[in-house]
Amino acid sequence: MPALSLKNMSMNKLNLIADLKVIINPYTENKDALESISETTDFLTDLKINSANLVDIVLDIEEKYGIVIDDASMAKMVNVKAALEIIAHKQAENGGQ
Amino acid sequence: MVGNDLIDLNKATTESNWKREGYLNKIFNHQEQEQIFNSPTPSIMVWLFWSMKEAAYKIINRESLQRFYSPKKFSCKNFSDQNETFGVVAFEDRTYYTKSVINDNLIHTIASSKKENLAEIETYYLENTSCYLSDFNSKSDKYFLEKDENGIPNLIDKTNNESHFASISHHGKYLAIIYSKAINA
Repeated sequence: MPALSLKNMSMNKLNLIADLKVIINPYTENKDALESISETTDFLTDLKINSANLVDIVLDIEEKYGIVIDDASMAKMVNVKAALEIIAHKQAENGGQ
Repeated sequence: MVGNDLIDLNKATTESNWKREGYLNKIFNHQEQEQIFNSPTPSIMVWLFWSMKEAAYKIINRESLQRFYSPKKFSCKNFSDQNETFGVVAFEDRTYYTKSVINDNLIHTIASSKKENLAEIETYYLENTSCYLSDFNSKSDKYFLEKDENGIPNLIDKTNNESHFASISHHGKYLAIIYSKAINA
């Protein structure tokens, strides 16, 4: 069973990254970096997203997942890894999905 | 230490919709939002405050090497006279002083932890291209601009080899290079 749940978790993560890719698309001109998006992708240094557009990404994520990203969580939102952790954490707070 | 932030107003208009629901609440406190809505030019106030916060953040980021996205932790107050816009940005127990240029095309804010240093900062505006380093170096007789292996810019005085702290900001069509006339300030 542990192997199965691990597999589910990574599938879930891959789906989340695919969702993020769609959300981020309007805010980056760096389409090559977006194409190869992964957990280690940085919003600012890799995707060259304007810092004023990071707010849009936060708002889009809130709308998509029905979560509220508080200021302390938003502070960490500089890369894909942090975004994934925040989404997972907030979804768990909401009772899990 | 000094920091700066440049906003191409045309580009900002096309790439950001600050009127989007929830947008201002994520980055501005109540007083800032009140000032924005009471201004005859709300979108100029939005980008002025944003550039002040970013310019102050860049100092903290360069000093601490910490990255974070907490625009609301920076509180802005600005004071305009006829020609220049000055401001103060508070972050935790620290205070940063700012001076901004606002025209039809851009907003450019410089920030310093020492008020008196603002007068010591020189600004160069260039076109935002990938070859701005060589553009700058071909135009400047006195200085040579280089970047170290971490991408940190450094300005060398060709006459005496002295090194000056420099900071670069670019957006849309414009790029600004600032440096302190004081050595390594």
